[in-house]
Amino acid sequence: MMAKSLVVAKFEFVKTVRRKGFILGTIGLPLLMLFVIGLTLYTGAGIGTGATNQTTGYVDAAGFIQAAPGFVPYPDIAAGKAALVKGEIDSLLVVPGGYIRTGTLMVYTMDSSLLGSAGSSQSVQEFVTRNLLRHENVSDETAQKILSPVSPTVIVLDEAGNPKGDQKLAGFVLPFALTMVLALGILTSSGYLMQGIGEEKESRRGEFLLSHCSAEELLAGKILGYAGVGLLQITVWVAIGLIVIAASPFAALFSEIQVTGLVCLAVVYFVLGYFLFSVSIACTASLAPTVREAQQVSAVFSMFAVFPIIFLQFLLQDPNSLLMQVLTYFPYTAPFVAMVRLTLVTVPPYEIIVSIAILVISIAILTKLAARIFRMGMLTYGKRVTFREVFRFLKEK
Amino acid sequence: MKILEPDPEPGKIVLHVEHLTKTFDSRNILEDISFVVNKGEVFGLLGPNGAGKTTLIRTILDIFRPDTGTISLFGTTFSNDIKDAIGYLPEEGSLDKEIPVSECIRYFAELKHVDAIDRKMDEWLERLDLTEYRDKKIQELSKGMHRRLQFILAVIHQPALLILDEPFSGLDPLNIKTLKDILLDLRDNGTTLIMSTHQMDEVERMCDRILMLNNGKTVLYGSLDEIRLQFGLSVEVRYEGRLPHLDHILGINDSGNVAELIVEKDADTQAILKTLVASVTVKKFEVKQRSMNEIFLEVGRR
Repeated sequence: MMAKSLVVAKFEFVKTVRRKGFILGTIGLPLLMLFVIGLTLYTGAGIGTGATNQTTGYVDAAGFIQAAPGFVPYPDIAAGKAALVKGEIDSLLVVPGGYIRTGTLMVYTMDSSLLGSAGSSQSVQEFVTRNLLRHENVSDETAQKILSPVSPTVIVLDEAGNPKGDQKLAGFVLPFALTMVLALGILTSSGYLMQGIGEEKESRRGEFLLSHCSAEELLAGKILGYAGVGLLQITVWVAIGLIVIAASPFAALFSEIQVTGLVCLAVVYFVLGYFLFSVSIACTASLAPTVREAQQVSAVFSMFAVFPIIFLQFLLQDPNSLLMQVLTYFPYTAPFVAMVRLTLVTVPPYEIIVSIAILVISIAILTKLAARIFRMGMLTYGKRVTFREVFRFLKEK
Repeated sequence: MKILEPDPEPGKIVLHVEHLTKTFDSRNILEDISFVVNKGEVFGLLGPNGAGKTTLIRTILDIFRPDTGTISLFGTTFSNDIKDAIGYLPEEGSLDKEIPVSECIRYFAELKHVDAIDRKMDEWLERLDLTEYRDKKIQELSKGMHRRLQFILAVIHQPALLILDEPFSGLDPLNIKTLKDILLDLRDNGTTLIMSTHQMDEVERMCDRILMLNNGKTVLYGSLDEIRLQFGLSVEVRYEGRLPHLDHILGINDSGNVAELIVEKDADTQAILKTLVASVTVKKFEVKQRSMNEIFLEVGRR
């Protein structure tokens, strides 16, 4: 059986990864995102740099502003406006006499662009805040702390009140990131799987294929092939992400990542979750008359992948609540909810064992039934399959 | 209608179907079907639309499982090895349009465990005049070329049993001839052919024996000669005058001065001629076996 499944898997994999859509989605999408992020950072840096290099005039009627590099005092608004129009300054800050009471400032500028205004506004805010603090006799050192507070060091305690073993940021981030990667992997791979099966059904190719191999071989081959497609895409995305992280100031946080039990569990949930969703989506796609209808029905499965996000508030409030326990046992939510819970609290081992056992049993039962549904569904052309027909498919020998 | 009993010859039988029944939603799609297909013969599977032919083919191919009855292929029950010995050309369904012809052939050949794929691929492409399309995408093929490519996929593994569903549909007369020559060549080299078709002239030219289904039941089974005999004879008469009453006649299709008489199989045609000559001027009197098309129409109407 395996040999034919591997032939199918290889064919589906090669066919899909050669598609322009796949190449664009795999390489083009993250590059586009990097470009947007880079552009944002560049323009952000530009704002900062520009603001630093810009000259701002000011008229201080409140009487607490001290001159600073880049800021030029003017005796009145008319003089300041004249300098602005001549281009001697880039903007004019007016601090009214009642500023301490009203908190209202005015900025005159010749630049009507959003970015120019934002940059100007940011540097002006810092300038005014610093002068206010100085006016209230706050030391420069404290003023700096107020302007740029440091990030706190978080220490997570277990139920006994002791710090948990792995306090590194990566220790929390990695399993959570793996959960997100699992959700992403399932959604992308199953999307390709659904499209592949849908196209085959629409073109009535199923009968020809089933004369070459069994429904079980065809189904297994497709699941393997599209798993490969999804994994390749995720690997490329993760690799691009890691390269970006390595080149960023956050690289040190990830320098001592170790493969802990949590990461191993993430891999187990990833594999089981993928197979459960793939088999389910393959059945759904084989029953739908068109690719579009298959996509609509399969959206239900995508909902399960975002359950941790929907229930995030409850998850964070009480990760061991009854609802979360139930979602850990329910096969379609187990891979996601269990992983997020594991990153937040100590989950009793029996819950994990039961959750994985339910997943394994569900996959075994579903695979058995899926081959029948898939075989019959692929040969039902041009009409919606009723529940009664699905039961008939299941009764087929 | 008398159903001719199968005449199995052990060792020669490629396919043996016994008392096959298949039901969908309490509806009998196939009802107690029994027949044999012998090695090296061309076997016609006939019947009007909805007769159960496709379900029968799918059941033979193990895509559907029978409710009752047995199917024996090459003297044994169905297995994956047996699947590799069967070729199948379905009536409908298009191939993946985005892949090149060569890749498509390789995929299906690998599924059938074919060795020396490149050599066999080139041979078949040349034989079906598709060599120049070897590296072109399937979407560039015309309907007829697409059908020829499907045929290659059905035969590249040199099947011992080849099942063809409307093999000539979508082909021009030249390609029909090419394909027919290839099919006869395959038969001469030991391949057994099961052909489901509505083209009765092709059935008459190619098939040794037939099975005809109607509403899931066997209505005809046997060699063409046996079946034609069962349906009597056809007499074409060109005449002047008024046709007299004739005995042993099953039906008359009278156009005024030309009539087609369907006569009982044991009828004395000379006696009929004598009766006619006594009443009308007979210009032509030709006794023929009934065509499969007539038989198909007659059985289909019942």
